[in-house]
Amino acid sequence: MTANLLEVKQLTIGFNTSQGKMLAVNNINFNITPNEVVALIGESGSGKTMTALAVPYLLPPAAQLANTSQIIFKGQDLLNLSEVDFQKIRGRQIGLVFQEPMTALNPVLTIGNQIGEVLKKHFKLSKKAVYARVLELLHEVGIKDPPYCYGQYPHQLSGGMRQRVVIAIAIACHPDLLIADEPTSALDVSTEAQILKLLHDLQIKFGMSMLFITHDLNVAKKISSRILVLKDGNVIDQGTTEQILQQKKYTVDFSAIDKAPPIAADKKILAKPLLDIKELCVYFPIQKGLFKRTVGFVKAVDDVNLRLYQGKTIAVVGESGSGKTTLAKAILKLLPIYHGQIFFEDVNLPKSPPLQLHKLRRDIQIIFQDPFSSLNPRMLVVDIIAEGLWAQELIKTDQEKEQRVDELLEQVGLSKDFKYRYPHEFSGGQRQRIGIARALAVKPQLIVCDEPTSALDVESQLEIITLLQKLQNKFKLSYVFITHNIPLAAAIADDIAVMQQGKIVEQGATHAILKNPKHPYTKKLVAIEL
Amino acid sequence: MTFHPVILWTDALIYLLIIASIFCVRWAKRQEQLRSAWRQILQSRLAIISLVILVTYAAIGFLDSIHFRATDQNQITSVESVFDYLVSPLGKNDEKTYSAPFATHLYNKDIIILPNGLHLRDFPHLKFVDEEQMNPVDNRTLDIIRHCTLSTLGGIVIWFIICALSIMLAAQRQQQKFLTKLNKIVKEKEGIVWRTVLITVGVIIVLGFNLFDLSHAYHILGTDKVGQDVFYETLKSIRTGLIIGTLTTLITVPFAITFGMLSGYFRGWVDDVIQYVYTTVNSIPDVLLIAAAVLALQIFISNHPEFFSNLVQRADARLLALCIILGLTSWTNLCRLLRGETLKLREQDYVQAAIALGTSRKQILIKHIMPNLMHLVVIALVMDFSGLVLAEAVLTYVGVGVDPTTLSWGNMINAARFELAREPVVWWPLLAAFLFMFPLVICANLFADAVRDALDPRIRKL
Repeated sequence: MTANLLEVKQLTIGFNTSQGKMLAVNNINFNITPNEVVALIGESGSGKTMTALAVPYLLPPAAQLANTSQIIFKGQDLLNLSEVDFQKIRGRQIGLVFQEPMTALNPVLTIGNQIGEVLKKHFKLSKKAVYARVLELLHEVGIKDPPYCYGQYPHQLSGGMRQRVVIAIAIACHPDLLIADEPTSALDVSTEAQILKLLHDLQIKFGMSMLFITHDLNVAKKISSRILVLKDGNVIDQGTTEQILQQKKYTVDFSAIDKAPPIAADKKILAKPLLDIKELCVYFPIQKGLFKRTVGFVKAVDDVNLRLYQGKTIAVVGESGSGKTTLAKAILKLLPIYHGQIFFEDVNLPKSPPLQLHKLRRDIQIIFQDPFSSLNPRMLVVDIIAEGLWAQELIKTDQEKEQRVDELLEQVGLSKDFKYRYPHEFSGGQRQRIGIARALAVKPQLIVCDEPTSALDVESQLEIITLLQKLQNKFKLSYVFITHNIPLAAAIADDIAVMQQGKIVEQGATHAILKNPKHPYTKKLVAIEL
Repeated sequence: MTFHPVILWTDALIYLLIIASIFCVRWAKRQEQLRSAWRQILQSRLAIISLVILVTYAAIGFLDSIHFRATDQNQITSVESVFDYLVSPLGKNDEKTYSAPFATHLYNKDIIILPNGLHLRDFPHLKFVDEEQMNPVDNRTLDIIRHCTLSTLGGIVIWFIICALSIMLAAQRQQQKFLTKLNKIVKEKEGIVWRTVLITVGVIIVLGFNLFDLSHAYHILGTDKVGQDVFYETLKSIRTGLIIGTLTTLITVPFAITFGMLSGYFRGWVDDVIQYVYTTVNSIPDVLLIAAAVLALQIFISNHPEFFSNLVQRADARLLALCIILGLTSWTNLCRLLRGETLKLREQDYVQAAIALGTSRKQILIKHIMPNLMHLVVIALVMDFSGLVLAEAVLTYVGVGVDPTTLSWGNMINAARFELAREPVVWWPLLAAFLFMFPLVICANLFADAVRDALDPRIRKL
C-alpha cells in the first residue's frame, strides 16, 4: 500500500450559534493516496465544503476545530503549523478551485497578473520567465489564444473560460493535491463536461491527487475513483465509485416514476389547446446615454411557439441562460412581452385588460426553483397559502380560510399543525410543498414549474415529482415543466421542447426526441445526460 | 398652590411616541425572528449596560416632559415639569454670576456692602451655600465626604430593597424559592441579563443619590453667567437631546419608507422623480437649508406673538420646528438604502408569486416588502439617534439650533466659546455638557451596534 498523501483524522468542526453549539462536521476520517481522486458528495449543508476548506485551513473565523482533529499532509500535521508556514503549502502544494469563478477572480486585475502573482509568490522568476510560464499555463488549460487572454479582465471571459483560468492558478505551482469545491456547478451542461475532462487530463498529466466536492453523483462518477457520501456532517457511506453507483441510493431514478395514465382522449379537449404560444419574443432593451436611448436588445426569448393541451405536460429543457425561466415568467406575464401572443383558452394574455388578467391569474400559477426565496420569511404558513384566496376573493371569512388551508395542506401531504409556523422551520422539500399549496389554492388549470426539484435533496426530489403527478391526475392540471434534467423530463413529460439561446431548436413527443434527436444541440444534450 | 396640567407640542409627541413604542414591543413579541434577535442583543453585557443607561436617560427626559402650571397665593404662575418639582430647589437657587464647582464664593469680585456700611471689593459668598460651610477649605472637604457617605449608604439600602423586591416577584412568578432564584441570578445561570442589570442599576442609584444629595448643598458643577446651576441645566438638556434624537427620526422614517418603497418597487418615472428630489435635497448643504428654514421660522414667530402665550411655548415651537427641519433634510440616506433593498426584494420569488396570484400592489408593498425592510429601519433609527444629538450641539453652536432660552447642550457649548476665551477661564459648563452627552451618545452607539449585529442578516450568517 502506498503512503497516504493526505490523512484526515477525526475532523470535527463546530459553530457557536445563538441556539448553542452546532456541529458542521462530525468526526470524519479519510485518506487520499498519491494520484488518487476522491469525491465528497452530499447535499448542501452536509459539511462537505467545510471539510474541504479545513484542509488548507480556510475556515470562516466562527468555525471551531476540535482538539483531536488532525490533518496530516505528507507526514506533517497541518493544524499545528503557523500561518507563515502554512502559506508556503497553500497554493504551492495544495491548489484550490472554487465554485464561482467570477468571485474567485479579482475583477480589477488582468488574467495574466493574477496567474503571475502565484508564480512570483512561490518562485523567484524573472518577469520574462513569468510571462512565458503564464502563457504555457493558459495553453495547458485549453485557452485558445493565451497572449490575448493574458491582457483581458475576468468579466471579458465566459464562465467556462474563467473556470479554466482559476484552474490555471491552482495548478501554477504543480501542487500535489488539488481541492476542487463544486468547480462545475455554476456552469452549464456542456461546459461542465469540458471542465471535467480538463481536470481529469491535468490530473493524469501531473500525477496530482484530487479532492473533488460535488452534490452531483453524475459528476463524481466521471472523475473520481473513490467516493465518500456525507450527510449532516457524518460520512454515511464510502467506497469505490463502482460500489457506490451499484447501490443506486444516491441518484434519483426517475424511470421508476409511473407515468400518468393518458387522460381519456376527449376529442374536444384535444381539438383546442389550453395554452397556445405564438411567436413569443421577450427582449430586454439595452439602453445607453443620457436619454436612455435603446441601442439594442438582449433576446432572452426569441420567436417561441408552444402548444399545451389540458392534462398534459410539456418539458422545456435547456442549459442555464437559454431563456427557460424568462419563458416561464412571460407565460405568467410577470415580464413585459415584446412581441407575440400567449393564448390561454381564447384570451390573449399580453393584450388582456388588467381586470381580465386579474381573473386569469386564477388559472395560471407558478412553482419556483428555490424553496427558500419563494416564501416570505416574515409570514406564517397559513398567510402564505391564503394569500391567493384573499387576492382572488375566493374566501370571505377567517373560518373559510382555515378550512381551505387545512384542505390544501392535506393535499400536498403536510400536517395541519404547520399552519402557524414560519417558513424557516421547514426543510427544502416541505417548503416546496408549501409553495405548491399556495399555487393550488386558487384552483389553477395550468402550473408553470420552474425547476421545482433542482434545489432539493435526492429523497425530496422524487417525493415532489410524485406529488406533482398525483395532483395532475386529481385536478387535470397541465404543466409547463422547466428543467435542465433530461432524465426527469423523459420521465414525466408528454412533449419536450429544447431551448438554446432563447430559441426553441427542437420540439416534439418525448420518446421521439430522446430516441431520435435531430438538432445537433439536442444530440449533445441527450448524449451527455443519458 | 394649585396645579394645572400643560401639554406642550413636543410633550404630546413624546407621549405618542411612547404609546407607539409600547404597541411596537407588543407586536415584536409575537414575531419569532425579532424575539430571537432580542435574545441575541441581551447576550451582550455591553448592550445591556447601554440599555439600562439609556433607559435612565429616557426616564429623566420623560419626567421632564410632564408639564404643569403652578399658581401660588401671589398669583405668580410658572410652567414647570414633574422633574423640576422632584429636584427643587435645584434650578431655583440662582446666584449672581459664575461660580466654580463646589465653590463657596463667586468667581468674580464684586462690591460687598459690609454690615457697618462700608463698601468692599471681594469675592462675595454664594447665596445658596450654607453659612456653616463657608468656613476654611478642610471643613468643606469633610462636609462633602460626609454627604457622600450618607447618600451612598442610603443608595445601597434602596438598591438592596429594589433587588430583593424584584427577585421576590420573579421567584413568585416562576414559582421558585427566593434563594434558588437569587443563586441562579448571582451565578448567571439564566443568561447574563439579570445580574448585569441589577449591578448597573445599583451603580446608577448610588451615583444618583450622591449627586442628588450633593446638589442640594452645593453647586456641584458650578453656575453659569446668569448664576443658574449648571448641573440642573445639563439635566434639563437631556430632554432636549432626546427630543431631537427621537422626534427627528419619527419624521424621517415615514418619508424614507414611503419614498424608498415606491421608488424601488415601481421604478420608471416614479423612481426618477423621487431620485431627483432626494439627490437635490442631498446636494444642498444641510446647514444652509436648516439655517434658512430656522431664520424664516424665527421671523414668523416674532411676527405672530399671539400664537404663543408664553416663552416656554415659543421655545418649544422652535424646538419642534428644528426637529421637523432636521427630519426633512435627513431622510435621504435611509430612503436610498430602502430603495436599493426594495429593488432587490421585488425580484424575489415570493413577490413574483404574489403578483402571479393577483395580489394588489398595495398589499404586496405592505405584506411582502415592508416587513422585510424593517430591520434596516430599526438599524438606521438607533444609528442616527446619536448623530442627531450631536447635530443639535453643532447647529446651536452655529447659531441656527434651538431657542437660546431652551436649555440644551448645544447652547452650553455655544456659550463655552466665550467662557473659554475669558480670563480666568470658565471651564465647567463645557465639562458638564461633555459629561452628560458622552455617556448618552456612546451608549446609543454601543446599543445600535448590538441591534445591527442581531438584525442584519448579512452579519448574522456567520
